Amino acid sequence: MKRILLVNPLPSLSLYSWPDVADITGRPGYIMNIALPTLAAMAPPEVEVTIVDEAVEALDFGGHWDLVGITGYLTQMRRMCDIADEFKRRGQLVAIGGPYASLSPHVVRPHADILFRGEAEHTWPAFLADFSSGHWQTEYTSHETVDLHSSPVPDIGKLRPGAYELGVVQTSRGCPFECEFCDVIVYLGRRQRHKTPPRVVDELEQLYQAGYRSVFLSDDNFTANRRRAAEIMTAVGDWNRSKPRPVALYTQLSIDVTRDRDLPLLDLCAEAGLRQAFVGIETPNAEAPREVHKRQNLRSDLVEDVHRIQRRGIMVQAGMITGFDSDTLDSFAVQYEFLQAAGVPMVLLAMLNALDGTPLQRRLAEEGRLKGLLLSDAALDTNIIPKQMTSQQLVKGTVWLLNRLYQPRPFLERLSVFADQLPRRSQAVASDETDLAFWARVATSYAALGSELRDVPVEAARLFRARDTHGLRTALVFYRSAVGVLRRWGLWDPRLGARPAPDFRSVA
Amino acid sequence: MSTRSVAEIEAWLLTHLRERLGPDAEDIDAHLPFSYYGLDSLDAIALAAELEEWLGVAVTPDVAWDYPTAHAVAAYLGPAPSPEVEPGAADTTLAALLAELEASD
Repeated sequence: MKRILLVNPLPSLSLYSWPDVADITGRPGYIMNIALPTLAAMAPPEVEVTIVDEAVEALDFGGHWDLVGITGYLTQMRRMCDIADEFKRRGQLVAIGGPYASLSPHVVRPHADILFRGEAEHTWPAFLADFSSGHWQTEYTSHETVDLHSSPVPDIGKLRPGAYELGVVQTSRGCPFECEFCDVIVYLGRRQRHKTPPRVVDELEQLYQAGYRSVFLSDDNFTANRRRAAEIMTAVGDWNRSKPRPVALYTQLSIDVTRDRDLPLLDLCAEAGLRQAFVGIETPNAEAPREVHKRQNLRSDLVEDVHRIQRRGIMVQAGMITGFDSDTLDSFAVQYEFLQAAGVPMVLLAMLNALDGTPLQRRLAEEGRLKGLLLSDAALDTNIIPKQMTSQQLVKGTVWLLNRLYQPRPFLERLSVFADQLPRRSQAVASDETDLAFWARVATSYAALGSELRDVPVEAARLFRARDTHGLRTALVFYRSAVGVLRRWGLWDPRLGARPAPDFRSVA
Repeated sequence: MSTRSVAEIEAWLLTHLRERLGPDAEDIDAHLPFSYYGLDSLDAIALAAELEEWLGVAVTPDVAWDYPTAHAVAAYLGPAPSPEVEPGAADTTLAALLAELEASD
């Protein structure tokens, strides 16, 4: 019997890492990672797989493993390398794979005995066969994209039970768009490959049986293929409506799903149980989508587009970016005003970065506009020399925008706009014990933030009278997390956040 | 954990940043990221080593990645502040919250 340890490293602190919310959700982790359970499902009976996700449990470097396998994204890069080095120092055989290893193999190679590049459905079984024979290679590269029919149902039984707020079902891989800055298409390609609707439902049922009532439909762009999206949502809706307590679904959409002709699809998503959508809006700067070839974002009224989603009871979570070539010093305040008007409570803000393998990195290298490695999270640093402002101005503007967005008053204003878009509830919804326990945890968590923030949940709840509170709940969990991130980064500055625009007077 | 206060550590960091940046540098703001001051990875590692020597406690070379401002590094390495939760604050908030939610129904 071979014993394999698979590790999901702790990510760096960021708005994407959802820290400080376990006391509200009652669970140590926020979102499940299904890469390692998928690998576990491919292992033959004579291989025993153990999974450790550092987001929910401590990693023990002791003991002996026949192999330690480590996955991870860019945000997990430093911890990934540290873990690999420590296990190697202890004489263990270490393999590294996953998105970051695939896109930046030159960084990972010195830390790994065995490197996996690309999707693992072909290479992992090939390695396991080699491993059992005692003769394996030092690198396994997948040269072709994987048909998702060959990807097994993830073995979520290997994860700690009840450890996550959100379960995950991957519905497709790849994205047909060609955004210049995106590394997904470099790693997974532009041909979108889908799971069948029955397969998606099977995985949802597995999560339901395991107790999950919120599920992220992991997809690089759920509605890119309208026909496939409709087929999946029709099946998922039928399944969800058969449950005594339907599952709340989250996914990623592109903003062009709000075109008139696509509104029936958006209605279908809402009826199936979609409650939250991450949308890469990136910027209200109309020139930027042209600049980075994000043609699906060439829209005439982004505020109305967001409201069209919200009116269907779906909360929009926006991915936003500063530092496009066409951005100027006015862009920070413009971005703030847009987000307030659109009523987007949850904003994931980062500076534009040129990631390994992307067309953006190639273009900027040719233009001589790349600078050294990232020092910190992408919210606070970039490897790009900006075009119409200095690096200092870009950092200062972004820090102002983060503070401005997440002071309590602007956050409540965005929630108010969002609540106004929601349909009015026609009948009372009785709170049950689960609800009461949740709100008690919210009250305790916010009270610990001090008088400045203690009453945010109360004021927020007032805005949602006769409206569904699902989005409110998620927004309050996220806001607690965002405040924690800004404070731990040392950025939290109410005086700066009170300024209507960044002050560039002292900046070169 | 260092015996130095958060304010002391922050002052030390600001002084050392000022020395690195030269006499023409603007005033250092403890709440702006190190990236704003053009600190690169080698600078950050060197700063961590000097800080470790001064404090007499271990400081990981990558401390500036996880704690990207002088204030964050100081708060991390200094004594933990005692919690300032007002007694009964959570109960008061919960009562008000439930009143709002019931009004909502």
